[in-house]
Amino acid sequence: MSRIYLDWAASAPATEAALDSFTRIAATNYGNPSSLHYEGKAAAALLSAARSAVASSLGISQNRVYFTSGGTESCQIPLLSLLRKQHSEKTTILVSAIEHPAIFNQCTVLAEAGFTVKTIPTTSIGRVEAEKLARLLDTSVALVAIMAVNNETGIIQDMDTIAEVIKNSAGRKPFILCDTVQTAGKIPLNFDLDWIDAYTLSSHKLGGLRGAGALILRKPLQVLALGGGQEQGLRSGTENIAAIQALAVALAESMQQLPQNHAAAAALMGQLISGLRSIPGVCILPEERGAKDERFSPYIVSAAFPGLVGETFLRILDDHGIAVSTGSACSGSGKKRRVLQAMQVPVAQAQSSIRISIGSSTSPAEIDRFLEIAQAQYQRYRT
Amino acid sequence: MDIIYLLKLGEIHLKGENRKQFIELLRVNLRRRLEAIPHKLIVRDGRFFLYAPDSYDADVSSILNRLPGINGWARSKATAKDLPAIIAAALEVYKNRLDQGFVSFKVESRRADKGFALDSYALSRELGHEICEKYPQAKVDVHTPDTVINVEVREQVYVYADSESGVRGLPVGCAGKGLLLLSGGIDSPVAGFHMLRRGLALENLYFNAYPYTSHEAWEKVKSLAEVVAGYGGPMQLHTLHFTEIQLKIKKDAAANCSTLYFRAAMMLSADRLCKQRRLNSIVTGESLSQVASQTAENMRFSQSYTDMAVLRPLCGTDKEDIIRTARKIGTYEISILPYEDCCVLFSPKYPVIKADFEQERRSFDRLNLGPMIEEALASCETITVQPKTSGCKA
Repeated sequence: MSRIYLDWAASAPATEAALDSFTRIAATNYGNPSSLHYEGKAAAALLSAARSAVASSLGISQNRVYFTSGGTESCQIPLLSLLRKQHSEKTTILVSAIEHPAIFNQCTVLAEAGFTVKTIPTTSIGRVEAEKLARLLDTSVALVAIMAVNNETGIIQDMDTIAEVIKNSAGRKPFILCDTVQTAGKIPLNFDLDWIDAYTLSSHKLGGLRGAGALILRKPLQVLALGGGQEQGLRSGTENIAAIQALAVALAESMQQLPQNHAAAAALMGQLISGLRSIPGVCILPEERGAKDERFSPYIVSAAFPGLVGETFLRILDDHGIAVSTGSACSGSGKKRRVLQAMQVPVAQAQSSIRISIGSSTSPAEIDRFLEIAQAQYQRYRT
Repeated sequence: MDIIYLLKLGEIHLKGENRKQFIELLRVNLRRRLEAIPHKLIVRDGRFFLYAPDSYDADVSSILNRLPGINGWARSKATAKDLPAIIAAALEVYKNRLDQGFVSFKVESRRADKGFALDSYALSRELGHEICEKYPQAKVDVHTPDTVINVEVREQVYVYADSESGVRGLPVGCAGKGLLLLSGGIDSPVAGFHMLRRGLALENLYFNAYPYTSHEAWEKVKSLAEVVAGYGGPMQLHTLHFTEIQLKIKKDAAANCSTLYFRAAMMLSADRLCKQRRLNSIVTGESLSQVASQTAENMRFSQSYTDMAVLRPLCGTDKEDIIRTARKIGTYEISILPYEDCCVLFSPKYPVIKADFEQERRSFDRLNLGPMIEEALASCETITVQPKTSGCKA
């Protein structure tokens, strides 16, 4: 029996079109886009075409699109640019309590460099508390990082309210970094909002190949890592043309199919959440999440199985042919569930949680099978 | 080109009339460890002379550094019993040491062959004179020399300087064979090392609680066993599947007794396995007062489920000493890998510290784990673990 893959938020299978594009280009276009000969120019043309395609998919101008090696690098670049030109008064960074490790952990470097890093508390469903954000926003804030969709629980931030708070804050608007790795191609979002300075994309989350991502910037930045000056100096290093083109292809596909994919995912998630709730003892995290709750991404859900540690259940499900994850795949071996704890989820529940994430080829039959196995194994192994 | 290794015995010398047996066992152990290396081993007058090609020096060193039964060893020159040859050898040996930064020296000579012309004192004086003549920067210091040039006059003359320290102790196997309760923690591999040094050969027993513990946790235990095998040679690693037993304890026992009863179940299993496999003792890494389950009362309780000798070499040591040894023998870095061999759900928040012997015996016996333990033993999985010595220095 083939495996049931329910870890799309960690990494998604490449689409046929993206893989085809990647293989073709990797085989034939080995020129360096910075070279002035025929091969280089061919590569440069592909790079340009990819940039244009990404811009078109997102409804923005091309000069805002910068290619990187992935979501993590896209998050790091704006953060580390703060080290390049330190402002004597802008010494505070605000980061949401549920931010991805690529941003949250990077802030420890900035704290060592003298920045004051403050966490923006969230409500029990994981939304940034607008009042608390407003109180934290003073003239010393250099950057605010709030992810649009959380990778563990799927919570979608109330972008309109956050926009209001930021626009009403005193002094010059800080740099707003919005991690949209779990948003692009999945959740409708305006990538041209005037109050957001940076959006991030990761190719392999939306059906492209690993090794490419994008950073969408309102204005150019002075970056920390210099080199050959590629991507207008924003991200030096020979461009990964094949992966970048695959990103463009995958993004175009997913944007085009977004409405129907979203609807299908919502139906599947409804089926999944209802099914999980019918297993005695299981709690959805947060409990308030409805089966078809528009405050959450229909692609991601966290659920707690009290009496069983998340990693244990992951092993059991893996042995039964099902792939899920515990927390963020990027969190390494740490047992702390920072995101869930920020939502005041009790430690015992947080430790017994798994994350289930679906994608474009997930089927109702797979959800049913997962629920059947999860129920049986939870009853067997819970202590 | 062969290197001659001289091995120095230690405790074996104290074995009086039984010395020969210990020497023979050491010889057998060493031959086995050196199986893959072309070598010649001569045992004469209680001295071990090992010849091996210099291309195998790293492997031989690694084995000698981990061979219980020897106090030390040295790479030696061998010459005929004529003074010019001895002088030449002594000069070469001193020069090697000088190049390593050792300047002051003393010569210590021993004559097993009393027929040799010069007595030990005269020989030492002669060699000391020649060294100082040849190397003006050399200095004689008979009290605290940087290096000692050793000369042994036997059927040949052996000249050597730097000697490496060995792990001392007695040859593995002279004390029979015991069963080490091996976990992925820091303590039990160190306990195994200590007992190997006392001459106890070992088999290992690991209690697996998959899926509550991971495959990686088992791999970690196997890696630890490989390092310990570096000291004792290939060893058996038995894995018992204890998941159902852990679940039963969790379900039917008082919460604060789960670890205590688990240890009792381990002892019961170890007892059975020892008798099945004719092993003579159980070895654990327990250290008094280190954790709640390791109090005298709790140890009395758990060990009451075996009548085998329970050897706890770490009982009177503290964690710092244990860690120091773990680093030295090469198990520490593996032990601290984050693959736990006990799920947090099975560890009580408030464990019982001083077991009431009668009461806990009654409660534990009511669980009637005997049949489940027999079942676990019947499906015990055993592998042979080979010594791994790269990446650590004893």
